[in-house]
Amino acid sequence: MHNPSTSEETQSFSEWALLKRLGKEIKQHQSWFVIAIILYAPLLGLELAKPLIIGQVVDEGIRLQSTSTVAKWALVFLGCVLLAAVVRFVQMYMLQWMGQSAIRRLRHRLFRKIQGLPMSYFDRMPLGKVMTRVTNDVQSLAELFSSGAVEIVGDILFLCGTAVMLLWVDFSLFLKVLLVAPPLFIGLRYFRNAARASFGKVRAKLAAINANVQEVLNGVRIVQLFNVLRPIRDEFESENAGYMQANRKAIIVDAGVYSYVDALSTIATALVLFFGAREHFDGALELGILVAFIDALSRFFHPIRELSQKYTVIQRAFVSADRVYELEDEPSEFDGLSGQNKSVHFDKTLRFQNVDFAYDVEKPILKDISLEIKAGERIAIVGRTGSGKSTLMKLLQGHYLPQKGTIAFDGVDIKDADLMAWRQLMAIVPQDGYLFEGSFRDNLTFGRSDIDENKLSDYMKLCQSDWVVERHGGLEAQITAGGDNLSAGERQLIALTRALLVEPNLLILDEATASVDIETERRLQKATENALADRTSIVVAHRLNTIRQADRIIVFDDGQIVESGNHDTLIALGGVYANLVEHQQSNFA
Amino acid sequence: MNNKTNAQERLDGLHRSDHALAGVHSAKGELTFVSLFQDYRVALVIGSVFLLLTNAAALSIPRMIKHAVDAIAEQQPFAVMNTSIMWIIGLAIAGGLARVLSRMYIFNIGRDIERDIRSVIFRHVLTMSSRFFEQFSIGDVMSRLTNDLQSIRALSGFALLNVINAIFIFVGTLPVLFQINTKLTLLALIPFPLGYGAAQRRFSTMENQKQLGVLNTILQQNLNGQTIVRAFDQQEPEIEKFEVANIETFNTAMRLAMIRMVLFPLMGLMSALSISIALYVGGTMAAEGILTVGDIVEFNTRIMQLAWPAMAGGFIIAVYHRGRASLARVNEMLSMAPDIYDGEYAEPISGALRLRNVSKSFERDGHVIEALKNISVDIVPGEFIGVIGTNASGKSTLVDVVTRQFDVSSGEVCLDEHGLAEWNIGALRDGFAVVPEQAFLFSKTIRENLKLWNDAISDEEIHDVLSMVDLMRDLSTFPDGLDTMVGERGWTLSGGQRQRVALARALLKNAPILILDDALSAVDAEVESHIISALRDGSMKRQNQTLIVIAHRPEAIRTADRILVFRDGEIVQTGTHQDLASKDGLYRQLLTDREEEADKPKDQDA
Ligand SMILES: Nc1ncnc2c1ncn2[C@@H]1O[C@H](COP(=O)(O)OP(=O)(O)OP(=O)(O)O)[C@@H](O)[C@H]1O
Ligand SMILES: Nc1ncnc2c1ncn2[C@@H]1O[C@H](COP(=O)(O)OP(=O)(O)O)[C@@H](O)[C@H]1O
Ligand SMILES: [Mg+2]
Ligand SMILES: [Mg+2]
Repeated sequence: MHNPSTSEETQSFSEWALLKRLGKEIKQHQSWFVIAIILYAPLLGLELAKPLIIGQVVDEGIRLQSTSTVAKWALVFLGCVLLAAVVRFVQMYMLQWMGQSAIRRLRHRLFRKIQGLPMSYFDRMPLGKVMTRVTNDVQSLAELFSSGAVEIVGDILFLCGTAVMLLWVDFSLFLKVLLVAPPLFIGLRYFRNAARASFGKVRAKLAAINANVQEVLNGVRIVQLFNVLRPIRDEFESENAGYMQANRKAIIVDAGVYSYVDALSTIATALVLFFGAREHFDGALELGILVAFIDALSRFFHPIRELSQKYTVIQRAFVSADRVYELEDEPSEFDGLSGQNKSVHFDKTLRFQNVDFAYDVEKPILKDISLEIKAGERIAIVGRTGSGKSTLMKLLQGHYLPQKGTIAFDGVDIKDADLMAWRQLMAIVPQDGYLFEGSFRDNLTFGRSDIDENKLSDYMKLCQSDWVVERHGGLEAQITAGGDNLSAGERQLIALTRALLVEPNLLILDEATASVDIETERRLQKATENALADRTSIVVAHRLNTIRQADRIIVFDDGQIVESGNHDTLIALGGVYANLVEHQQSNFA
Repeated sequence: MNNKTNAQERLDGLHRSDHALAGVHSAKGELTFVSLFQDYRVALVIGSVFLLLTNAAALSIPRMIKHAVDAIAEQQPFAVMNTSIMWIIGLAIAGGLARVLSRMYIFNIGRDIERDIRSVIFRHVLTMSSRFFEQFSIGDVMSRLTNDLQSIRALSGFALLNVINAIFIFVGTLPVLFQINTKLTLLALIPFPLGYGAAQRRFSTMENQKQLGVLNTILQQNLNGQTIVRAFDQQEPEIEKFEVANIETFNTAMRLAMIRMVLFPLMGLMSALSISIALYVGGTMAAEGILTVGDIVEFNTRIMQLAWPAMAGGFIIAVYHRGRASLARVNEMLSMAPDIYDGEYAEPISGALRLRNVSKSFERDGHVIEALKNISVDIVPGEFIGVIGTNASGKSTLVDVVTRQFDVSSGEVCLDEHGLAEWNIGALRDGFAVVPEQAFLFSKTIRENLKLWNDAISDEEIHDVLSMVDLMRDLSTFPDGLDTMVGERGWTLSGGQRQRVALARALLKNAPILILDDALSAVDAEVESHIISALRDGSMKRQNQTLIVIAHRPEAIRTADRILVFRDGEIVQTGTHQDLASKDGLYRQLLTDREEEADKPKDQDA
């Protein structure tokens, strides 16, 4: 159910770039990070002490048949382990805290980012996919921290340490070990590509599942009404199965890396034995050293094996980080502005000048719109569906920017304005306004939480929504997501009240009362007539009788303004408007 | 998908049809790990065998190395050592392969189970009505479908592998230990059960999962209401709201991590304690001459081998708790029974609807809304019924009731003389084509939205219907014609276009009963009159099709055979336009209002 054109699998960042950005996430806690690393030293020390202590038990305790010495060293051993456990806990806590804080900040940034994305982003991106990035992808970065991948640094330190030890034990044998380096690197390279590809697929499938679920659940009523559960389910099943298949491939890669590295480490040991034996026969190598070398070699490969296990965790995180940072790097809606952030007022005029707009370059929607609205004027816009009325309202709200031309309040162009201040000048009742899950009060005061009780009830009366609230049990009664427990008319009345409560300079009603019954509408018109007399309003309507008293009626056709004037002049003109009125009246015949 | 898994089958067994669940997930029906694993027993056995081989290879390699070293020390011919080396390499490769296979088999189980549960949830949720979604918001369901399934999967793949591995290691090691000394072994093992006992206390793993659901819900609703958030300049408060949940998520994640951070060292400590006991008791025994030094050294080496699986055990306990909490959350969702149970009756529908004393009320927090009060009406096949009335008078509720979105509170609804409950829900819904108030479209192409998987619909039919709803003109302006993608919920169409696609979709469904619920609210006057005249001259309504048109515009239903006038959950008037227009009452009120306006263009200020 997702838009196939939005590819989820392409990767935009190099590994190095991702690493740097991930590093930046914890930069704030640099000192903690360093301390956590330093704590490896006592851990290492305590680890090394263990065999020594056991040696002591054997040498001093058992040989000398002293039970008290045995007890003493057993206690020392216990003490060491306790200490190690405490240090380990402190270290893990620090790393966890750092990781989770980084995740929290990242999530916050992404959410903030979304609030400022241009609306056009949502035209092409299914919401479920956006959600995937903020939750699942960020969550898989959290896994990076919680699965201890930060301990990589420790592993690398350990690796270097043992490498030095090996070099010190026998230089030439170590060179032999390096024989496995080329296959190791070639293998890792192969696995890296395989891992990124397969994890990329896995998360793309997950995003698709999320997009599907988000959408289908939004439309679950339609799914049931049209009895299409089966095809919907089949589509989902195949996505679900695809996700599983992708995961199975990832499992092979994951298991493959570890096994490959593990096998190579054993083969390296075999190589050492092979060459060591020869050197021993030549008298160049003592057996003791060979044994010590092999022993050290197993310790050398331990961190490599550990690393290989974290390798896939990291690759998985990289794939998610890529999507997360891609979202973060999306241009925001402010990028189209000049950045002057001028304050805006609406005391004189709102002017559209030669505005051209297209969602899709090939298909112009608004063509050379010029329109001047004086403060206090009541404007009505009529026109065929799809002629661009709502689009003009979207431009007015700054959801999209015009490709050409200017929109200005009192001479301040939207591109130079502070967009927030710009939007505060107006309130809209959109064609299908979303109501949020929450109480009636939350929804009504959505734009103005500081409103006082009297005003609230005044406006509710004014907008005929008082009975709606009462019917549902008062202001604290709950509205479900999308307003699903309200009737269509009730929803519109609530949305209308919500907008009027903001007491905006400019009120935009985009077919705001289309589902309100005639009786209520009549009362509404009477009530709002006076209240809105001094307020500028733009009303988009199909019910022409509701806009008759507008100061000016603007007639839209095919993205252009074709007529403008008051009802009488337009009727007299006998053009598009008169024709529309004719049509509507003919229905009564 | 052809070979259904056990879980899916069990669910199907619970479905009397594809649409409703009957007697769902009772105490017995809920998902348990045992039932989920049932299909994968073979894979589990095969995986375990490979795991055993992996371990065997891993244990043999040091022995082969020892052989090789011994061979060198004893100055045996190269050939002897070379065989050992060949063995080492062979074992390394075989062990590697066995490891890959063991992980494939065992981890795949986790993935399979994840898929099974996801599909079970999805099927279940699709049969749910609004009551369910009031309790489980979409964002929350999504979170359960991903985050919770992830922890269930971790338990049924990763944890499983480690448990089996730990069992192998314990089973392999314990006999050796007992062989050395029974008393010593028993004493040394004491800490393990203690540790597991301590780890058994219930950890609050649920709250992190819950919190992720909360976070997802906020996000989902914020995204769906994004235009409103911006229009009302509420980005900052929304961010604030998100941040509160975000911080709580952080706190719960830390608490969750704490479990792991405590358990891991705790189990490490237990094994260390066990070694200390071994050192002390064993050392004492050796000092007393009961054991040899060699015994002690071997005993210690062996018991140290238990340290890692024991520590992993701590980790697994954390995974286990989390997985169980998640499964409980999944079951919470599955345990919600559907509002409707369907029957088996599935005959072709003629379209006779009878409602007898139908009432429907909604209850919420003790507050009752009576949406329908004692409605009785008979609709004969082929009739054209107009419905008009005030807002919230129960018109849409009537549609929900006859299409069985939910059941009536009292009274009876019959379709073709059969109570709705007797009908197979699929057959019932096939009988209706509805244009709902909110024109929801899928983010697919226009063509796909119109056909809705019914491949029998030809492009010709589509074009016929599109011209009937006056959408042909718009179609030519779309970039890809019928293949234009409409965006999520269809929001890249204008409101009127969306509504007409929904109308066309219903007309194409060709059902015996066609219902238009306020389906002209977003169209312009010209299109409106076009559609109204199609309604009037009968070209929209096929022969014998029952047509129910709900409208706020009386002109749309003027030619109806019968008009039902709704007010406050009751039918206050019934009759033809002529009847009603001549009587005092709500209908006249609605009508005169409009006609007055039509007749006297400029008389509003009075
Ligand atoms: N799922 C629900 N939960 C609670 N109340 C509901 C639910 N659905 C509808 N209602 C309430 O039932 C009453 C009737 O609603 P209905 O949608 O049937 O009205 P309507 O006649 O279609 O109104 P409109 O003309 O505004 O579309 C309203 O008060 C509405 O809020
Ligand atoms: N987000 C969008 N992306 C692409 N096309 C769009 C989008 N929104 C609207 N359109 C198209 O722009 C045209 C005008 O739409 P709109 O302004 O909503 O019309 P109306 O005048 O009915 O309000 C329609 O053809 C519609 O399909
Ligand atoms: Mg519009
Ligand atoms: Mg309704």
